[in-house]
Order: sequence, then C-alpha cells, then structure tokens
Amino acid sequence: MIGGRKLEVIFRDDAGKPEVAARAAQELLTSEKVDLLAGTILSNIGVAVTDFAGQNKTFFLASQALTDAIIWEKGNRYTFRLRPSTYTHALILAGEIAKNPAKRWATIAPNFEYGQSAVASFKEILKAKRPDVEFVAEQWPALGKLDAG
Amino acid sequence: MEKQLLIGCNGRGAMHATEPPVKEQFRTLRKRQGRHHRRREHVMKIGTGAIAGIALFLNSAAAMAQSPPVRIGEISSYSALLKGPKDTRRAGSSRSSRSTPPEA
Repeated sequence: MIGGRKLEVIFRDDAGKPEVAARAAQELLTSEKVDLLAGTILSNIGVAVTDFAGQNKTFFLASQALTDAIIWEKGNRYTFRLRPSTYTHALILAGEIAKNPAKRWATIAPNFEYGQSAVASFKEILKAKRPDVEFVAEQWPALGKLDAG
Repeated sequence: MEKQLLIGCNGRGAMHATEPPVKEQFRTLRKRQGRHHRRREHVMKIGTGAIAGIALFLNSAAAMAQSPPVRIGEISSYSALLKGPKDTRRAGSSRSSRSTPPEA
C-alpha cells in the first residue's frame, strides 16, 4: 500500500520476445487498465516497452534491463530505470582493467542489446583511460547459446 | 495537561519521545504518582492506545475503500529465463547454469 492506496500487480510473460512484450503492454493498458508499466529483464525487451511507453504516454519503470538506450538514445520522458546501466558497469570494470598492463583485448558478449551496449561502453571508457590498448577480436554468440566448454 | 500527554502512548513510547518537553513531563508525572497509581495509568494508556490504533486502522481502511487501487502491469521473461539454454548444462549435473544473466 502506498499513500493510502492499495497496489495491484498484473503479471504478463513476454516469452523473451520484444513483439510479445509490446502486445502484452498494449493489452495491459487497454484491457487491464493499468496505471503504469514495470518490469522487463532483457534489454531488447526493455527497449521495446520503452518505445511503447513513449508512444502511449504511459509511465514505465524498467526494473532490470540494463542497456543505456533505455534512457539515452531511445529514452523518453515516460521511462525511468531502477538499476545502474551498462555504462555504469563498464565504468567500474574498465577502471580496474586499465590498471592491467595488458594492451591487446578481445571481447565476448551475447549478441543482443545488452551485450552490444555493454561492449560499446566498455571499449569507449577503456580507450579513454588507456589510449594504448587495442581491441583485436570480438565474438558475439547468440543469446543463450554461449558454449563455455 | 497530563492526560493529554498520555493519550495514545504507553510509558516506553513517552520515554523515547524525541521531544524533550514530553520526556520531562512524563518524568515529572511518574515522580508524582505512586507505584499503584502508575499501574492503573498504564492500563488506561494501553487502552487508549489500542482505541487510537483501531481508529487509525478503520480510518485507513475507509480511505482504501474509497480510493481505487493502483494497477501495475509487470512484464518479465518468466518462461524464457526459467527454461534456460540447454547447452549450458554441465555434464553429470541436474542444475542448469543459465547463461542469461538475471539482469540484461
């Protein structure tokens, strides 16, 4: 209960697919008459619901999706985030990595919004801290398909 | 003044009150009263506190009944993340180490 008003949460499963998430958001808004949207774990789904929130002028609290796009290039005035973004994570990671004398680096990240956003931020920040480093390779396994051996 | 001070709070609450004048008034009151009298006051205090609590509860319940609930639509990848990728299962282990992070 907040401010003397009871909270009701209506859950929908996006099945890990942005188009399913967008349909669920539409159904929640028109049929269930929700006051606001929340949730999303995967960044590509977070971006889809961010876009929906902007178009429909509906408040959206992105609880888990980490991509910077949610509040930067694809952000809108109706979308807010709960967690630190990939940029924040990369800032901490690159700060530690910059202390390492190694100069040649390779990246491996899942090939969807989160991985792409994290690697982009990491490269940008590390390069700024250590102009002498070089990125020699990138690997982009599909989401959920990483075979660590 | 003394009754006004005591209504709705028990002795412990008054002694922990942050307002110094309230603490002081309560100490003065305890000194003036005998042990037996304090007990009776304590019963009265608990009684009034309970009544005040019930009144507050009924008041908030009435406010809740008048206000419509806030409806939140929560969207998450329940089935996709619970299922998990098959190729990350370790041989000989029934546990799945999901490569999908809990936040991504």
